[in-house]
Amino acid sequence: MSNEYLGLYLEEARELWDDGVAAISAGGDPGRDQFLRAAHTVKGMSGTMGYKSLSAAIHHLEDLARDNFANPDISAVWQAIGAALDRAAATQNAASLEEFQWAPLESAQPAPDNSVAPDNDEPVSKTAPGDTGAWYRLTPTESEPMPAVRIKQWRLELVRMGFGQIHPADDQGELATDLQVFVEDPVDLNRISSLRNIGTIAMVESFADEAGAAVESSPAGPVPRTPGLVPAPVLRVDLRRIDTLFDEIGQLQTHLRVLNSVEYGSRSWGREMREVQSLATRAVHRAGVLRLSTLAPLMDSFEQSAMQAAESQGKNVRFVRDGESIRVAREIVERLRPLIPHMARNAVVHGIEGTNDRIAAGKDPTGEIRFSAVQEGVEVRLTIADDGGGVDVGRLREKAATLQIDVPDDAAEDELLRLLFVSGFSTREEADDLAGRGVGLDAIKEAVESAGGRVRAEQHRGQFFRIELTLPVPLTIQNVVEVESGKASFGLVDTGWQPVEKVNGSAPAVLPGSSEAGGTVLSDGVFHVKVGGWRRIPDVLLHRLRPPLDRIRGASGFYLDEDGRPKILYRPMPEGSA
Amino acid sequence: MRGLIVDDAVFMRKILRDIFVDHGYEIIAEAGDGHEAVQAYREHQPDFVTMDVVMPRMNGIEAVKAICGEDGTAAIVMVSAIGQESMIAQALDIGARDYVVKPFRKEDVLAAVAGALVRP
Repeated sequence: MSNEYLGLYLEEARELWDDGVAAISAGGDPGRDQFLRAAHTVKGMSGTMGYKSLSAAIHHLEDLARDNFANPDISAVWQAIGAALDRAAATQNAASLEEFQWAPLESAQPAPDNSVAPDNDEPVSKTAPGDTGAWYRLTPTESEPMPAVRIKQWRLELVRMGFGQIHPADDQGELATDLQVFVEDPVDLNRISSLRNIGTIAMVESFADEAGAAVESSPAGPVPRTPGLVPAPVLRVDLRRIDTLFDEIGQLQTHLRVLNSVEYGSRSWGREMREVQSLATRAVHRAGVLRLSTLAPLMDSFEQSAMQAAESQGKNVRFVRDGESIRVAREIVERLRPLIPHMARNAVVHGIEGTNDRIAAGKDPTGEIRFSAVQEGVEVRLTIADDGGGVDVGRLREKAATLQIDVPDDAAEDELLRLLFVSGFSTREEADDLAGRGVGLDAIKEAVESAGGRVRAEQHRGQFFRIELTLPVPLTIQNVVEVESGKASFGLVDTGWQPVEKVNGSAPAVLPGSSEAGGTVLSDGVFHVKVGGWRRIPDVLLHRLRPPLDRIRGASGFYLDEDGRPKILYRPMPEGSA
Repeated sequence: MRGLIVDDAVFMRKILRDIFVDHGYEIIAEAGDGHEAVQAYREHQPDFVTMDVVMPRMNGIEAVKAICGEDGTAAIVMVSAIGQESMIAQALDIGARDYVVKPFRKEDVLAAVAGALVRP
């Protein structure tokens, strides 16, 4: 914690310390409550400043005060804390607080307690100090009405006891049903023991016993840390959409029942079968839409934050967005959303130069930030680009050296830019352009990679800087123009196809079955195609093509029409392109 | 995203404010006790709240109860020094979405708030 906060800490801690002294002399229950409040606040502040020993001492005092507020030791330790605060204030140096010496008072230590081990004939295997460590798994009893809340409670209690590594044991995040505790190394064991003076293993077991938890230790060495630290994604969806989906599933069930009761192959059977196919297709589409979100929320948030930052920085910035209607997995939108304001701010504050600098560099005085998205098959690429000066890679290299990050001498620019995504590489404490540029990018990288995507930064020094986030799309919804060609029909990605009277330039591709006389010429401004018939179908759920169909040139995937027939969706490509 | 910081220590409010502002959030108000928190919530309708537990006059639990009683969607993250487990569990029961224990790492606070903001 920087010195910036020391003055404020000392001033406030000293006031609270005075409150504590008044409370001790007042005595009684009101005095104790006042003391606990003051002590608790100073403890939190001290912990935040990194004065671990001081914080632990105050925690110990709280225990003492709850047990017996008349204990004279309380006043003695509180006086020692006051002296340390005074020393720090006099010297404007936190050494007396950082190195605050204390020892648990005899009167506070629980008597060595042999009764804490559970009355179990086969105790869990114990890990003695000196071993590398062991995991313990605690599970609430089946009768526990709110296991998740109980686990949170346990976690806090174990933190209080000094355990560092405590994780929900499974991959359920907030809905975890048990907890893993790692009993680590001798250093930690000593630290814990000094606080409580009872064996660490017994602590876990007695804790479990008191808490009514089932406890089980890792049978052979540490169990691997589960990836359960990331809460399972929770999606927000419009309830009406879910209701509509359920309504259709209900109808589906009804028709299936009818289907079972009519003669196979009869007219009624055919009618019901078509209805079932149509409902099933719609239900799949609806489920797909629930799973996806457009990029509009991210772009809105970005624009708002960027404009705010521009205003407060007095910079002229133009925001351009493109591709907001592209849909990606809803959870990635929700994970990125809280991180977006930061990226926006970075682009404005550390990307776009001041107006005068821009003019001097011969640039448009108004900077441009562009947030765009394009869909490429089963991936969506988001690009956040600014036309600022970019990052000084020489300084990136220097920074890497000071952090002892190995960078090859011949590292290319984009390799150096990758450093911006390294956790801890950029810190706000340095608050310069270089550092600020990367703040928060580690979190972005983590969010994107956890969704199976990838990130990269690139730039042209003096011209632009951009970050690309490439996201896989679990399923894709596309607007389709379905065209007929003789007896066949297939989809074209709707890139704005319109019927036209005639086209300029190249002649339209003529599909089989669309005779010279009949048919319609469609154009999206780039491609022209003559078809037998056509119609627009919005929100079509696209499926991946499996080999060998995925090698069909220009085919993006397939979709099912209302009758459940698969149709290939094409994205027209210029001749000769891959 | 606009936040309200509730803590009786000016020092803690400053630390939290700096963390949020550095990460692109806006802090629209601060409160030094539960009463002020409830008032500030009504006035500013923030997107998220960080709430201390032990405070004079009205504590954090009562404040969470009052705020969640008025706005079931309030995104409140408890921020408390160790030693207040049962109170935090109580706060989670009545509507707080997450908690962070002091001393915290700034990543913990940011993650808790980010999580609280996306939860329904």
